[in-house]
Amino acid sequence: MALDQASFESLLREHQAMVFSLAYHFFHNQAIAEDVAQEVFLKLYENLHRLESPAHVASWLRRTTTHRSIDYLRRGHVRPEVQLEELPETPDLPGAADPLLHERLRRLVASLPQIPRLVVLLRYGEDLDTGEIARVLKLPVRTVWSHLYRALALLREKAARYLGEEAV
Amino acid sequence: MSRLEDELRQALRRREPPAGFAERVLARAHPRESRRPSWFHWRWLAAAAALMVLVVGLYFFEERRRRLEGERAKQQVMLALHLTGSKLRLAQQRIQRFIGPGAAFQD
Amino acid sequence: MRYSIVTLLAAALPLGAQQITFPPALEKLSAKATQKVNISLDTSLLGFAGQLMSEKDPDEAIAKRLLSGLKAIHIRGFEFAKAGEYSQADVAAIREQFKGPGWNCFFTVEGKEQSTHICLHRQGDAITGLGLLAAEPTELTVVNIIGSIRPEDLATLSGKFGIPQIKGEVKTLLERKAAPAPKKE
Repeated sequence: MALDQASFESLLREHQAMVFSLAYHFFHNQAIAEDVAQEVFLKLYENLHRLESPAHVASWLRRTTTHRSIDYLRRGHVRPEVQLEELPETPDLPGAADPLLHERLRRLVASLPQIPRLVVLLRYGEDLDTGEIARVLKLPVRTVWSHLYRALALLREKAARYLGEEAV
Repeated sequence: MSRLEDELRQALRRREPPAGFAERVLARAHPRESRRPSWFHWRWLAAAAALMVLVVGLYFFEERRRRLEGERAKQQVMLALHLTGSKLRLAQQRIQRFIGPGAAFQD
Repeated sequence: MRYSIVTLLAAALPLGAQQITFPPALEKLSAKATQKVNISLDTSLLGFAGQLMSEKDPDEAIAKRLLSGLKAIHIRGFEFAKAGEYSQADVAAIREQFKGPGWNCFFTVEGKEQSTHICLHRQGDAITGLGLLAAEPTELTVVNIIGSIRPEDLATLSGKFGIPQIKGEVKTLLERKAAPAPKKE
């Protein structure tokens, strides 16, 4: 089924949450996320004729969002990522039901290096398996596993206190 | 599955973009449509270019055909004049035979 | 008196143009002919031909000037392996057309085995057509030239394309006809 400009709006509404979320969690910044998301959909508009089907659109959007996000960083629009190790220790907060836990996790993820950050986002935000992540990022599966393992280890270390887990 | 992974899933779940996001994208997309032709317009441009090549090709083909036709007509004109001239000469020779060898003839 | 075909042609009164019709009987002679000529050139084809004629070639330059006034040239020519392949009835229909309005056959030779008719068609003072019918034992030729034929064109045709040359008094006569009238002071 050929895609055309008439189907663009329905595709936009169907996938806007996915694109925006990826960008938002990558930058942890709503304004930048909207900027990047708009660019992604405008590129979709220009390239609709090259996409074979609606199913193809979803994977194309994920790929384009990750590439656009990395480009955006490289263009210097965003201040350099803060290294996880530089994040200040937060004071102890009571119990497992930490209302700020998710926000804290989001900030931690947003401070990961670019590729491990994307691996985590695609794994836990988009629920992709490592094979799918490898295709989106054009990396070997082994490399994806390696990034995921190290990112989780780092996140566990930094968030152990809030998760009630032992740091590894 | 560890608690970290559970919490990550919840923290990184999809969230809707700010209100009006789709409208802002559509507003930016439509001006671009007039600035930069869509794939649909490029197809028409390609079709127009192909048609122009065809028309120009037909024009040159027609010109060549007309020229060949003209050359053939020219040869036929020359043949017609020679043929007519030879019959006129033949008629004159008959006059000469009829009137006799003594007459002064133009030749 | 000196005679020549072209002399008679030039001295003839201008006649009007007329296209003759080739009867079906004549067209059927193609099947018997060992060689045939079929020329039909209308105004547009004569125009094409004229455009391609070179002023540098003497014959083509003369033909080009002649073509400028012509509307059509029609020729049917047949050559047969032996005598008797066509009958007088086959040529009678052509001959009769040369007797039609505006036609004047100023030269006619008729014998047992051959005949020649040279005719001009006029409208007012202008020569507007030429017809030629040459019937020989093994050849038959019909020529019909339609259009304006000027006396000066005849002078230039003299000696060209096998046409007999015009000399002496007739040539002077043609040159006078072609020359512009002197201005009155």
